[in-house]
Amino acid sequence: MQPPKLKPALELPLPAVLPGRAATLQAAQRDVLGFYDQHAPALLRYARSFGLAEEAAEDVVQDAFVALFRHVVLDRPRHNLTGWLFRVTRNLSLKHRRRSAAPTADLFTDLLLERLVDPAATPEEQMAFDQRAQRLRAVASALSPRDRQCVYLRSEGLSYREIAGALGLSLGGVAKVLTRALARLSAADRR
Amino acid sequence: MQDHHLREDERARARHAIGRAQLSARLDTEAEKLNRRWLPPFSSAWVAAAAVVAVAVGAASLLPLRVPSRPGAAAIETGALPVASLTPGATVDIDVRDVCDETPRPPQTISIGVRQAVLHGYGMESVPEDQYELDYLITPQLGGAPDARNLWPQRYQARVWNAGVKDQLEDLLPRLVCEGRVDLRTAQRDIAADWVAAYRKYFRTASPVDPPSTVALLAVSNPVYPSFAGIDYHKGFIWSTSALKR
Repeated sequence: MQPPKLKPALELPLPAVLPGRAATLQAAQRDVLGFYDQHAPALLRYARSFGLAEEAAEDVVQDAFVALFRHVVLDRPRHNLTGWLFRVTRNLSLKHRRRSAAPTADLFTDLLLERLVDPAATPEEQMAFDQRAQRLRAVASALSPRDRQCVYLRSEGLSYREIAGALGLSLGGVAKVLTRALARLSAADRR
Repeated sequence: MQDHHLREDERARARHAIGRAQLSARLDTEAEKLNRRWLPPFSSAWVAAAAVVAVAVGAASLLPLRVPSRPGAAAIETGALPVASLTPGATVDIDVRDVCDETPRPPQTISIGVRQAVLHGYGMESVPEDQYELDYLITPQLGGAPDARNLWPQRYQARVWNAGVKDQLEDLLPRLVCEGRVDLRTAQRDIAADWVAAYRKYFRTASPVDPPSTVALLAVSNPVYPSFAGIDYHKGFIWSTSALKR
């Protein structure tokens, strides 16, 4: 029996060796702010999903983008930066949650249900909504935390490759988890 | 309702603009800080930093590496295992190449007749459907068939030996088969005979592997710029100093 497979480490550099060119720094800053415009809302939701308060989630996301700035300035690999950002946000959120005795329950199930079930207007729709939400909640709650995060990130629009990067899984692993989890959810929804 | 959404949008845009301005200011500071910390290669500061790292690596190597496990065997709750006479397990014709093919496959469908036969066998026709899932005893990836002999209603109420734990075994076994460490037929037989016993056998633990914080400190051997990293088995990264190599 081998020990569990180690996930790849992220690297938040210590003393940085910079090329020392102002243009490089400015370009990196521009790139990072562009990424912020594109991904900050989704990353804030992701950080909040770990049970963090709004303010704490904002701090975590800011820290993630500062880490991205270092990453870019150091000319580290740029493929799958979206997955990288989600992974850093996840790690920082978990770290923050461990430090501040924040509630440990994640909110992925609630967020998923918001996306899976349409809001109701009439009392009849409300009843159908409640029943459907109850069924899906039962299935979503029974998923492992990792599987739930896979489904959540897919619902945020991330590609399989980006999810793999965010959670440190193989591409095949993500496909397998999503196939299995979505089959369960859709089976529960068809009942 | 529409006004409410508009107000929410405006609020979100305002928060985004504030966050962006804060980030921009932080990046300015960060750029300055990074420049101040710049160390030319082979300076005495690098030697000092390497010495600190080397001492830390030595200390880290003394730390025990804890493999996640709990003392004592976790009890098996009622309903965690299928009834062997009803669910002995059934497979389709499959070989190792099929198991190791990572191409996503469409989920197998279970006919209503099969579903009803399984629930009838277990006397669970009147149990609300949100309290269980119809689970494959031998997972389809290992060749499990969508057959009544391979399906059983696994209850969500099980707290220890539940569907999530079985998923871990279902993830592990195909990997072991593909790595040639377990024969496919053995894997099928073990999971069908008693999946909890199979879990204990292959994970070498009496209780489900819980993800406690299990930290390994790894030294990366580079005599010039030694570096080391802290890695949490279950949560991934903690930190790494490999940037020193640059």
